[in-house]
Amino acid sequence: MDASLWVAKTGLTAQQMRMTVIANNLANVNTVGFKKDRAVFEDLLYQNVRQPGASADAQTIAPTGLMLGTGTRIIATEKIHRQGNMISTENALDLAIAGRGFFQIQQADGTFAYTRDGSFKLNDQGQVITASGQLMVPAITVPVNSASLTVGRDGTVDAELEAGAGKVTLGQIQLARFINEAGLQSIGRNLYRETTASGPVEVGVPGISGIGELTQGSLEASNVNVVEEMVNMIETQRAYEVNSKAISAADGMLRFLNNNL
Amino acid sequence: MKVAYTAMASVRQVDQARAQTTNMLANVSTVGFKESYRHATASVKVGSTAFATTYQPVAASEDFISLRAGPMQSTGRKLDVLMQAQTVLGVQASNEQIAFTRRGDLRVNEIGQLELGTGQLVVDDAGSPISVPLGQELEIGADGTIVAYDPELPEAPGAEVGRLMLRDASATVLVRRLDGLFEPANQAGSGGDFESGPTPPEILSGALEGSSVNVSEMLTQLLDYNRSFESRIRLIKEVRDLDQAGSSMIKMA
Repeated sequence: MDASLWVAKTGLTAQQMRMTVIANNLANVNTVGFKKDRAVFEDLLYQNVRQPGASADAQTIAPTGLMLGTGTRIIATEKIHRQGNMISTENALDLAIAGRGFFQIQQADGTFAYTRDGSFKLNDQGQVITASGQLMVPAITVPVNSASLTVGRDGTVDAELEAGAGKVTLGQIQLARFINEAGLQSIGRNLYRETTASGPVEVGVPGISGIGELTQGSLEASNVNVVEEMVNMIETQRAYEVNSKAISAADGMLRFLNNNL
Repeated sequence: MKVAYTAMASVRQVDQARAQTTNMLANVSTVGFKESYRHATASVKVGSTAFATTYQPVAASEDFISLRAGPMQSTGRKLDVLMQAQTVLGVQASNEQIAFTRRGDLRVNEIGQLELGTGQLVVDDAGSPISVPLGQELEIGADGTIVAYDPELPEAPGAEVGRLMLRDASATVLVRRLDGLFEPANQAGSGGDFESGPTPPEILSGALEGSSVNVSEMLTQLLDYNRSFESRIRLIKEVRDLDQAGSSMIKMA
């Protein structure tokens, strides 16, 4: 009917979606290891109304073209993998990664998922699991008679046994890393899945070439900055209003037309 | 009835301008978006000897990219760059042509090449894609030099990976492509590199440039279109009433 009605509608849809992204960021302000999302806006393809250099008449050519815009859209939501703050918890199984790596988690279907959430627990067999019950890879089993647990910066897990029975090494935690962390697919429960866009996983021990070191007794807080999100929210709200103004302007014109002719 | 057609013609000529204004408002959150459309209606004399006094409104529009700066949004992300003054960044469009943009949300893709948030590959001074090493911290200097540091050896000097294709467009007219990227006006349709202007190109890492759309200007423009539309429709209505009055006058009793 009227081109500008539909163009303004794309603006409303995109701002609405951005508001959802911001609300999700704010909702996860206390989620351990959460990485905030950013909505990536893109202008839609242009319609070629007049080709630059097209003939205006027999003698002259149009000096410039005219590309008619058709609106905007959100092309992606991008995870910003910036380091979150460290929160000291003094809990032996709380691990934080300083660096780019991820913990590897085994899912129920046997595939691997990756996480920055290091709030690990033990299950009834003494195996190290995530807060939602999935096994960490490589599997580490803590013996029943262990008195204390130490995780080194390089991921080595040692247990001091009770009654002076000495120290045993239980294994070494390995970290995964990706060439493009932003390409990982978020599957909820603080987990990520490898995709073509993330590149293949590379597994290594903590502390070598940028994969990150472990800190025992700490957790990585969400990297959502509340003030920044609030400002984004105000901006989104105003942009939404502007686009709805454009719709009501076009609507007013059509109404006037209908009423007067 | 001639005046009704003149009024209708001016309504139609402004239609496109209205859609463009709405498009700018829709892109008020698009990173690095630039306004490009300017519009005016001119009265052009048309016709032959038979219609010596006929004037028709004709829209005169131009579609050059205006590189007026948008608001700076500080993000703290090292791969976000903000282009200063009239600097533009060279990228590879989908058909391998070189085109330019003001978007600065760079990222590393799955094969380790730098690309834009919209997926186009960022190119170096020679026009080829830039590959970056895995697991290293990247820093982008003010002149577009990308340096990779090994996080394990913070005291070691970084290795230069490449340099972004940055051009100063203060002496070049840029126009929009179908995919929204920019290209020099004299190479419209084919894309391509151009000679950098007199000011050295400069970027700032850790910030993004917001859309340069001036919301209050666009809303005022929309209001203006709105009211002039109404007065033109009014004119058509008045002409119709006049016409009706005329025909009722000569109606046979």
